[in-house]
Parts: sequence; structure tokens; C-alpha cells
Amino acid sequence: MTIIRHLLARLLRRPVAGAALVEIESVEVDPDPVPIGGEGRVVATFEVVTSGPSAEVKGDLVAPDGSRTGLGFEREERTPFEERWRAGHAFGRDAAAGTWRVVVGAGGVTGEREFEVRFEEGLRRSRIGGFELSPDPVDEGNRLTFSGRLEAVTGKEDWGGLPGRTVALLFRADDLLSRTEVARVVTGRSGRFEATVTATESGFWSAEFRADAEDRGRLTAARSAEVHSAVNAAGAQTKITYSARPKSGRRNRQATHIGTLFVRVQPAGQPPRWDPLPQQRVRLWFDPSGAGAESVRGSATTGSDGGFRLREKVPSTGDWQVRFDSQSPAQRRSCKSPARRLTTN
Amino acid sequence: MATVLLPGDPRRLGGYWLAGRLGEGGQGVVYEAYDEAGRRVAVKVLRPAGGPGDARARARFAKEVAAARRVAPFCTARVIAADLEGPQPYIVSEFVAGPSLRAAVARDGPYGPGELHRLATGIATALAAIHGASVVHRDLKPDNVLIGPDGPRVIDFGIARTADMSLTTTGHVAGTPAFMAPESVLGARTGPAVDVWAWGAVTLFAATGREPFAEGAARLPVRGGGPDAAGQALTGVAALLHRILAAEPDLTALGEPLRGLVARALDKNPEARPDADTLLATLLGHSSPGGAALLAEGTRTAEGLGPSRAVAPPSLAAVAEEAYGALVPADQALVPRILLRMVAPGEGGDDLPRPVPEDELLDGVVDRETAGRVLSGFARADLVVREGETVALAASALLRAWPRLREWVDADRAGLRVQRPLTEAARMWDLHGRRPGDLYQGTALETALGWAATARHHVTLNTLEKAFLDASRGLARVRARRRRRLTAVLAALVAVTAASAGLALDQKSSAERQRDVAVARRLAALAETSRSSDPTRAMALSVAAWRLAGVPEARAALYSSLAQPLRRIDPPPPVTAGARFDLSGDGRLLAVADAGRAVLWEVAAHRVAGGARGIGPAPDAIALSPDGRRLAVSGGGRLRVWDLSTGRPLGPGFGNGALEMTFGPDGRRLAVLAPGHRGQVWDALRGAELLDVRDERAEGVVVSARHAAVLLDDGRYRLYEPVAGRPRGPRRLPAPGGGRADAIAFSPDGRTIAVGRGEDVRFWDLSTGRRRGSVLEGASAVWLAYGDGGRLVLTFDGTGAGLWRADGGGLLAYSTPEDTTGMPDIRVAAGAAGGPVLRYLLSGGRVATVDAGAGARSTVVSPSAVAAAFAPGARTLAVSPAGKGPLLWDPARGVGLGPPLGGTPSGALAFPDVRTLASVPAGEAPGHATTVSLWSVPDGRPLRRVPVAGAGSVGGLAVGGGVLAVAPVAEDYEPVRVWDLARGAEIPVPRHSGWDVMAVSPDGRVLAIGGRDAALVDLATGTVTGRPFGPVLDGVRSIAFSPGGSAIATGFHEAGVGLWDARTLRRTGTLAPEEGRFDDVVALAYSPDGRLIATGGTSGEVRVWDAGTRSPLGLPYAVHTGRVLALAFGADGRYLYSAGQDGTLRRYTIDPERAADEVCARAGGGLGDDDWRRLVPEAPYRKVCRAT
Repeated sequence: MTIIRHLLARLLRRPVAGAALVEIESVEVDPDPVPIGGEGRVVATFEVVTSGPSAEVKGDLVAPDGSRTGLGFEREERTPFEERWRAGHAFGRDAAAGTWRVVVGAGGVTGEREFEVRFEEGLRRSRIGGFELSPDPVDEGNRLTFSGRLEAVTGKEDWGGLPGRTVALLFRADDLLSRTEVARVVTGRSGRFEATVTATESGFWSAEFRADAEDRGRLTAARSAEVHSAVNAAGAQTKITYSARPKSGRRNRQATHIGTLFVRVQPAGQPPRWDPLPQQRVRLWFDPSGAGAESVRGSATTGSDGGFRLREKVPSTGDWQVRFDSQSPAQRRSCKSPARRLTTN
Repeated sequence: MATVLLPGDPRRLGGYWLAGRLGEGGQGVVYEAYDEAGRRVAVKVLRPAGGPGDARARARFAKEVAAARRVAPFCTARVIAADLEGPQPYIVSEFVAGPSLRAAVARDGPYGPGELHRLATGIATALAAIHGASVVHRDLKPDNVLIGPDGPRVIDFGIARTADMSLTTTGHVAGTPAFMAPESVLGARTGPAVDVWAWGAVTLFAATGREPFAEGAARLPVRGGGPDAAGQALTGVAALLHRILAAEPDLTALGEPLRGLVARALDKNPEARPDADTLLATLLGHSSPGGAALLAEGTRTAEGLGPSRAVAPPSLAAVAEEAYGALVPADQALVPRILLRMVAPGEGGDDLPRPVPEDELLDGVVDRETAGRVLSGFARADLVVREGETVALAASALLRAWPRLREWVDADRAGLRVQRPLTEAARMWDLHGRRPGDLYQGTALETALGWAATARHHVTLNTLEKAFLDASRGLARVRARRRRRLTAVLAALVAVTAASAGLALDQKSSAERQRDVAVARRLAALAETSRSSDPTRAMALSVAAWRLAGVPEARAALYSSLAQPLRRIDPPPPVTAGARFDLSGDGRLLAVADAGRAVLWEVAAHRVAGGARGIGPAPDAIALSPDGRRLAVSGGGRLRVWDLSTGRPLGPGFGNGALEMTFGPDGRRLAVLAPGHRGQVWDALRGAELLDVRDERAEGVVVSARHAAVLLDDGRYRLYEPVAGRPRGPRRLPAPGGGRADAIAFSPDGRTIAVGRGEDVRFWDLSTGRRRGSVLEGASAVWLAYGDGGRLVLTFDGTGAGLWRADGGGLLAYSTPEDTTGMPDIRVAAGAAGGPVLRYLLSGGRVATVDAGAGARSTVVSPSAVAAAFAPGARTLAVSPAGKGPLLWDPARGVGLGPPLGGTPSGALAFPDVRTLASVPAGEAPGHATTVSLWSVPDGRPLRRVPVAGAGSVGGLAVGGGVLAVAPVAEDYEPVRVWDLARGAEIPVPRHSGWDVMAVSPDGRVLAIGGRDAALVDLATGTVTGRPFGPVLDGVRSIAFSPGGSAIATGFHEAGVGLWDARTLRRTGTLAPEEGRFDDVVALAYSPDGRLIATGGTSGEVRVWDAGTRSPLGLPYAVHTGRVLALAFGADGRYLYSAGQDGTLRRYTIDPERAADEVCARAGGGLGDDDWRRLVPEAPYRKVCRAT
């Protein structure tokens, strides 16, 4: 028997250094729209991905008439950087049809998402099948091609292709739980779609049909199963945890941006781990809403614990992001943090 | 760009290892080379003049090289060394990473006005410096101006050359005397003015891209209305020389003021040319020439030139690093194994490449594919060459130039010296038909075995070497038996000849000592190999080894015995394959049901404590009550409970058998997973059914004195209150946690239910239904149990067992049982030594006993810690918890010393002396000047504050010799500031940014700053040495000075620890992590005698190293559950202390005698007489453990 370090580390693997604050990375509702009117109750699940230190997630369902129902979130999964929380709610035949909201809060920040509750009649189920990617593994910088088919139920158990619909390609990196949209593609005549992206990072890909605009109320949304893509790259992967506070306030207030830069270390014969990456310059970028022009608003050098802290004026509402541009990409790859929106009133 | 060395090229000149050819010129060949320390240099090997002029020429060379070394380093490549006496005279100069001016112009075209001005200024600066040292260059030309990353550098100055050298050696770089001054052409006496001419010509060349006196570039004066007939008739070199003497160069490409200056410099009359100082002053716009300030200004002006033109040829290290970086991590890990086989270790680090037959590599060292990938990657980069069946390093310079390879070699040098002969001996043995006579024996065998067992870092044995060692060891055993017989005969002879005793006795004791050393080494190696299979014996062997001889290997084995968590593995009584086992609540008793009888077995004492007969031939399952008194047996579709003290059944059989079963904490209720996956609870004493869940498929049943939980196969569970005789059956209760669970346990008092679901375990109060206590985060429990009377919770996640505090939720230990099959059967109890002890069943009924504390005393000093520091000699520990002022502890006694100091949480702590603590606030203090607070340690009183003006916060603190160094932060790290604490005055230091890793030498004279831009600041002279610890990817992560200040240890990320001579800054060694156990060394400490070094990592690992042999002393201690913040040895060196981010203080026994006693206590005694005779046949038995 051996006391194995990495297992101890696994139990405490949430990186404590740098101390980014809690952020809500995503709020998802499944299914959307929620089909009611059938025989039984329909259970919708609400998934929230948070980053930063562990914090309880609380949430409410807000009905079209503004009435609120509490949701009990339980943590389902976690990675070194993020946690996935899930709550369920059963919608009965008598639930109000219309636009609902799920409002969640964790560690002082809030997030919300709208979703639809609709009568089942006239709502056709859709699905994405045969979602594949190739090649796997792929070398960094090479092309990665996806294909799949968007279908809707036509008869009892017959499925037919849905042409001319937009499907979004979603990606989440290894060790992350929140997905980001990478590309959109329109389905062909048979409902098939194909897309090509440049491979940059290993992670999970999925395709999502959101049933927007004309399909709203006629088709359910659908998401494919996740498919993993392994990307061979020379330099070690890096990652930035990042949070910004306060989220809203007056123009030109000072906001604090804190986070930590990590590098993925893969010791032989051991599982990979994330070590703090010290004394590297990270830059804070600002993208004012609608302006489309990004600019660097500050920079900092990470400490021995990989942590950084910046205070900058918030000139207007916009997205902030921290980037690490590696000086030695053969050893340490560049990376970007998730974007954080700060608003002014 | 350097090209590979050619067959006739030298491989080494003096202390320089040649790596490739940079160029070839009239005077010789220029090579890229590396010195001992890996510094990149240019080595010019001069072609000897030959004949009688040779000696004269050498003397002149020597004189002028000496002069050249006086030249101030402004825009010149410094001459570092020269050997003009040897058969191959050579000159070593600074390596300039960039193309020559000729190459730069050929590639990017002529220079524009701005760039040209900077270039001209740079060359003029160089000339002013060269002439200032009374040296004349005499061969300034575009090939001798290199465009480095920080501006132009003039090379090859001060090297004597005669007219015939330049004129007769053609076809190389120089080729033509295009930049020769008229007076040189005429063979007149030449002075500094020839260089000024050349400056003009070179400047013009840079502006036009053409040699100024090339055909068509210069106009010949027209005399008498016709072209110069003589000039027209000449061709080639003669025509060129004619144009130099007579033609006027075309200066139209130049703007003012350069044009006027170049025109004056190209005056045919040397007297009319300006001197270099004037050139420089004019270029810089000054009226008066001269002075070092001007040279510095010229250098600065020229610096702007570099980046756009300079494309530095990558250094050998960069090429190697790139080839290495291109490999996937798994292949990278095998690179040292492959490359180290290509190294023949020399004396004093004078290592050489060794051609390796490919089959040696493929013989179990690496697989063919990996070898192919690694070797072809390195071969493509010209780092490795294949010659027939062998592969070898392309240049020995790689051994100096590539820090990574150097570190591997340094770590294994001693081992390589053992392995090289071993490789050859094994090959010979194999080649000659594996004859016993070719095997190792005696010292050679001991050394090889000792190294193979303990001291390897990257080197692996191949299959042939292993076979050779095994055969050698086998033969040695046979010899030892023969020798024992022989010894008896000799003993008789010795008795007869004892008359001449004096000398003989001396010899004998010396021989005994040698024998004991050899035996101690062997036992230590044996201890390491048997550590996981027979931990008790490993501990006993380590003590025996240490008591025989205090060799480092024995000491290492001793420390490993303390660090090893597994204390013992006890076998069951003899059983058949059909035996069933269960442990009592504390794991001290083992019930064995086998062949119709049950035995209660005392695990540690190996004796029977009770039993029963007639329990049935082949039981399906058994359960032992926690107190070990009752045994439930399932067989033949019935259950029966036996009293093991009386050997009688409690009553008749009941129920319908069990797949699994377990008693409740009180031993009265029996939870049964019955056939058909029914969940049942029985009254064990009366055989009455209390619960039977048959409507859904049960996967497990847990029971307390009052409640029962049935786990269903779909992840749900049900909670019941089974009551005998209740008309409507057992009462079903709402199940906490949403009725979903992977694992369930009831506290022994029955009040709390622990529910493991997903990653976490949560607790609910069963009477109120409310959540209670904390969460066991990340436990991922598939099995759960309470232990030690409910104080501890044990979780199993399918891989390992976690031990947690039930109240605070903190993880105490995590262990991976070696071979539990399926669900574990783990018990936890308070150990005799205080720390918790885990006992669990291994296959075949063996019981493993594990000390969860694993050899280090643990004291919780704070829930968590941000910063920590030990006072000198570990007399006091200061820790800074998050959100509170620092706390003081007495590490030796493990007790707190009063309330927190002040109210401000601290970001960094340091003890200037045993009575004073320095602290700085964590984070920024808006509106306040940042101050360093000094506290009186004995009474916790504030002493004074040292304001750090202009700083928003302080990132790092270091103290030593009465000096306090502070790394202020305002936006970014600011220049470090230093105070003399005795005088209270700030000491002026050169500007260099501080960092949160710093150390001050014990005498307070030197400040070491870590990070990527590491530096040593001499506080007495104010000089700064940049990058003293080499270029490191992630910088220096920790620094410690040895107690005398003569050595410095630096911790790196994944690259171990570098050891340096503090005076010369030469690397004296490396503490290299073993393969696969890389860590980030963030804490370092020297023992008071400087012989040991302790390292602490980001992962919480603490380990001890022998500073002399640079080898690890024992297994790492895996005790902290987070980064190690501080390490210190006690003043007497008996203990090592560590403080971690997890808020614990740990103590490790370092004094080997004390460690031996502790190991004896853990092992329950030393080697027995029989074991000794078997394992140590060479030496007489001795008792190695003191009686306790």
C-alpha cells in the first residue's frame, strides 16, 4: 500500500491559489420548450455551471405571471475549475404556458435564462443523430470536421431530416463543464450538416438545435451526445480562472479583476494536474458592447501562486477577458479566460 | 546558422565543447561552442602560420589578444579566453546571436537612413572602445560586424594579421581586400586610421549593398581627357587595389551628416581622417569627443538596431529543447533513459558521448516505437547521429549546452559510473556464453546492487543487465554458504595464531567494518524491495542496516520506514480456498469460517481467541459483530448466529440465506442482502424478521440500533424504522438527500445518517431531518463507514480509502489498499501511538494495518493557512490563517502561544531573529501606507513598523544577518528594498524587481531573488548578478542559503533542486526527482550542519535529501493536503518541521537513533534470530532494537 499523492491531491484538487471568486458560467434548461398537456408530469432539469470556489447554488423559477418557486440545486460533478449543479422541476398539465425564467445565484452573482413552457399538441420532438468528428486524434492547427443529422419525429417512431435549420457547434475543454458556441452551420436538404473548424484544444464537442424563430412552438430543441476530440499539441496547456467584481454600477467605477494562471502538468505514470504558472504576463482585454473593437486595459504578472489582481475603470458596459500570450509556445501554450460582462448604468 | 561539425573538426578545445561550424575565414574556422557551465561562445581556431615565423606569430597573437581583452565591452564581442600555445591556437569570444552585416544586407537589402545611423554609431562606438585600449582592428569588414539582438557587435579585433594573410588566403569569407585602406595597400605603416577608413567603407556598403570600390561602384578620376589606361588594363584584385588608391567612392546614397563623415573617413590621406572618438561624438551630435559616457551613449543608440535584422540562430539548448518539446509527454519521460545511455561519465563532470548499439536500447529500456520516435526527432535536429548499428550524441557540447540533459547527467553521474562497467560486463558475460566466471562479485556486486536498488534517477537497467545482476546475486548466495563453512575452519586457525594479535585484531576490526558497511547497504536495499510485500520486515531490516553501519543508504531506509504508511500485513491461520473472513469493529479480530468450523483470530498476536464447530461445510457469507463476540453464518439457505466465546449457536437457523451481511453497531441486528436481492433486517439474537424489502431489487442494506437503509439498484435508497411486531410492518421514513445515495452509513449512536452521493458525503440528523456537520467534499464514496466511536468516517471511492474527521469534515489521510477485491472491508481505530490506524482485509484473509498519520506528528494549528514561517532553529512557528492576524506556535511542544497578533491578516511572514517576527498585510491596504510590522515573539507585542513608501502592498519578505528585504508591489513588482534592522536605516541597492521568492544570506551580505528573472544582489558592493541560476522555464520557485552561506539551493518546477557554490555560482549538483514523481519545489531548508536538505512541494510532499550525495533519504512524506508553506530543521537537527496550506504543523524525526527507536516501535521489534541468520549470514546476530 502506498499513500498516493495524486489521490490526496485529487480530493483537494480544486486549485486554491489565486482565489478567483464564484462566477456563473452557464444556465441550461432541458427540455426547452417544456411540453405540457400530456398525460404525466414533465420534469425539466436546470443545469448551472459555476467556477471559482465551491458555493451553494440557489435558484427560483419565475412563472409568466411573476410567481416564484424555489429550486433545490445539488452538485452533480466537478472538475478542477468548475462545478455542475442540477435541479429538477415537474411541470403538470396545469402549468402556465408561456415564457418562464430560471434565476440562479451563487457566491454573490446571479444568472438567469428564459425558457418556454408549451402545450404538447403541435410540438414535434427533434433530435441530432450520428454526430461524429474526424480525425481523432488531430494535430493542433489541423482541420477538424463534424457531421450529423438534425431530425424531427414524423410518425409514431419515424424520423425525418430537418432541412435549412441552424445548428450550433458547442465545445467544452477537458476539465471544464461549461460549453461555448464555436460555430453555426445550416442543415442541408436531408437535415445533414457538416462543419470544419481548426483544432486547438482537446475537449468535448456537441451540436445543438435551438428551435429559434419560426420553429419556436413547433419543434423541441435538441442536443447531440458529446463527442471527445483529442488534440496533439507541442506546448503544455494553460488555463486562466478569472472573475470580475462588481458586476454592475456607475460608469468609470473601479472593478477588481482576479484570477489564476495554471499550466497542465502530466508527470509520467500519474494523472495530469494543474500547477500555478508564476511570473507570466497576463493582459486584460475589454470589448465594449457593439463597438466590436477590443483593447488592452491593463496587465499584471502572476505571482508564485499563479494569481493576479487588477483594478481598472469600467468605461461602459462590455466584456472583459484575461489573456496569456505565451513567449515560449513550444512549452506553454497561450490561453484566454472566459469573458466576464460588466455593466454600467 | 551553425552547421554540423565535419570529421576533421576538433570536438573539444580546453574547457570548450564544440557544437557546430559558424563560418570559415582566412585565419581559420569559427565554431559555436559551449563551456563547462553551458555558456554559448564562439571559438575561432587559428590556422597556424607554420615554419619559422610560427613562434613569432604566436607571440604576437598572444600580445594582441591580451590587448584585446582590455577592450571595454561596448559594441564589441568580448574575448573570453585564448590559447595560442597549443597545437591548435584558438580564441574564445562572446557569442553574438545574429547574422553578419554582409548576411543581413544580402537578406534584407541596404539599410535605410535611421538604421544606417544606428549601425554607423555602433561600429564607431566599437572602434572608439578598441582604439581606447590601444588596439587596432585592421580587418574591419561587413563579415566582422555581427547584428546581434541588442545592436551591432564588432568581432575579431586585435588579432594580428599581416598583409600576406589577407592577400594570399582567398576563397573564404574575406576573399578580397575590399575594405583595406590605401596605406595598407601600399604596405605602409598602418595605425588606427585604417579602421576609420574601413568604418567609412563598411557604412557605405551597408547603405548601398555594394562594396565601395567594387567595379562600377567608384569613379576613377579622369586625367588628360582619357580614362586611366593603367587602371583599365588591370583586372581582379589588382584592379580593386588600384581603385582603392585612386578612385572616389560614390556617396550619393548617404544623407548628411553621414555623407560628410564617410567622405572624411575615406580620405586617401590617413592624417586627414577623423579619429574614432571624433566619429562617435559627431554621430551622437556632441562637439567634444571622448569618455566612457559617450561609449555608453553610442551603445544605447546602436541597441535599437538589433531586433528587426537579427535572426538569432537557435542555441543548441533551444534546438534540443524544441526537439524534446515536440515529443508527447509519455515519450519525453523516456528521453532521459535513452540519452543517458549515450553518456560516458567522466571525472569531474568531464562527460563524453558514448555510441550505443541500438539493441542495447531496445532490450527492455524503451519499446521500438518510442525509441524510433525519440531518436528520429533528435536526429532530425542534428543532435543525435546514427552510424551503422549505433546511435550517439552528435556533439559532446550537447552535454554542456542543454541544461535538461546536464541535470539528468548530474543526477545520475554516480550511477552512470556504476552502470557503464555493468553494461560492458553484462555484454561480455552474454558474449562469452554467460559463464559464472564473468559475473560480478564482492564490492562490484554490492555497489551495483546498491545502486540498482536505491540510487537510480533516470537510468534503467536493460534486460541483459538485470539478468546479469540476478545471476551475480544468485552466485553470491551460493558463495556465502560456502564461505560460512570456510569461516568456521578459519576461526579455528585464528585461535591458534592469536599470539600475534595486535595488528591482526586491527585488521580484523577494519575488515569487520568493511563487511558491516557492505551488509548494511545490502539490507537497506532489501528493505526497499520488500517494503510493500512485507512492511514489518522492511522496517526491521532498515533498523538492522542502520545499527550495523550508519551509511546513507541505511539512513534512507530508516526514514522510508517512518514514511511508509503500511505497518504490517498479518496472515490468517491456515485455511482452504473456500474460507470466508470478517473483521471486528476495530479490526483486531478476524473471524474465519472454513471447513465446518469458525475461528476467532487475534490478528496481531497470531493466535486463536475463540471459535465454534459445526457451522456447516461451505458458508456463503459470514458477519462478525463489532465486538467480535457473535458470528452470523449463512449456509444451506439459512442464517445462524454463533457465540464465539462459548462456541454455541444462539438459536436455531432462520431466514433464507445471505449474499452479504453485516451487524449493526450494537451487534443485535443483522442487515442481510438476501438471495433474490431482497433487503432484510433480522433480530440477530432471536432470529426474528424486522424488515424484508422484496418489491425492488436491493443492492445493499445498512442498519443501526434504530434505523435501516436499503440501497436500491437504481441509485435510490429507502429509510426504515424496523420495529418488531408492528402490525403494519416497519415504518418508512422520508429519506434525506432526495432519497438518492451511492453509499450509506449510520453513526454508532444512531443519530446521524451519512449519505454518499456523487462526489460528496453529507450528513443528516435523523431526529430532525436537518442537515448537520460539514460535507466530505470529493469523497466519491461507493462505500462508507464510521470508525473510532463515530469520530472518524471512512470512505472508499473504488480506488482508495479516505479517512475524514466526522465533525470538521477534513481529510486526514488517503490510502490505496493494494488488492482489495470489490468492496473493501476497512476498519478504523485509534492507534497506540495516537494516530488513527486502518485495518482491512486483503485477499486470502490477510489483514493490512496502516498508520494513517504515517510517521509524522501532526498538529492542527489553523483551519487553513495563507503564509507561514519558522524562526531560526524552528523555535517558533508563525502561521497566517485567512482573515486573521498571525498565530504563534511552539513547534517542539506542538502548542499555541497566545492569541493572534494584531488584527490584520498577513500575506508574508519572516523571523529576522528568534525574538522578532516581521509580517506584512495580505493584499492592499487602500489609503494606508504599506508597512512591515515587527513583533516581539516572547510577548506578542508590536515593536515597530517599517513603512514601505509608494508600495500598494508587499509581495515578498526575506531576512538574514539583520537585514530585511522587501518586495514592494504597486500594480506590478517594484524594485526590491532593503533595511538594516539594527540601524533601522534603508540600505541603497541597485534597481532590481523583487519577487515573492527571496532569501538573504546568513551574513546579510547577499540577497537572492527568485522567479524567472532571478538575481543575486551583493548588498555590500551593490552589484547585481543576473540569472545566476541559469535560464529556467518557470523560474526559481524557492531559495535557501546553507547555514554557512557557502551554498545556495534553488527549487524549480518539475526539475528538482539546483545546488550552487555561492561564491563562484557554479552548479555543484542537482537534487533530481525520480521519474514520475515530479513536483514543484516551493519550500526548502538546510539542516543546521548543512548536510541535509528538506524540500516541500505544491502537492504537499515533504522529502529529505543528503546534500553530499544528492540522493533522497527515504520515501517522501505525503502528509500535507496542500502546498507546503515553510520548512525548518530544529536547532539540534533532531527533527524537521513543516507547515502547510492545510493549516497543519508536521514533525519528522531526523535523528537516526531516534528514528530507529520509532521504527522499532512501529515494527514491534527488530529482526528475529532466525531471520537474521537467513538474511545476514555474514555477521553475527545482534539485537538492534532497544528493550522498551
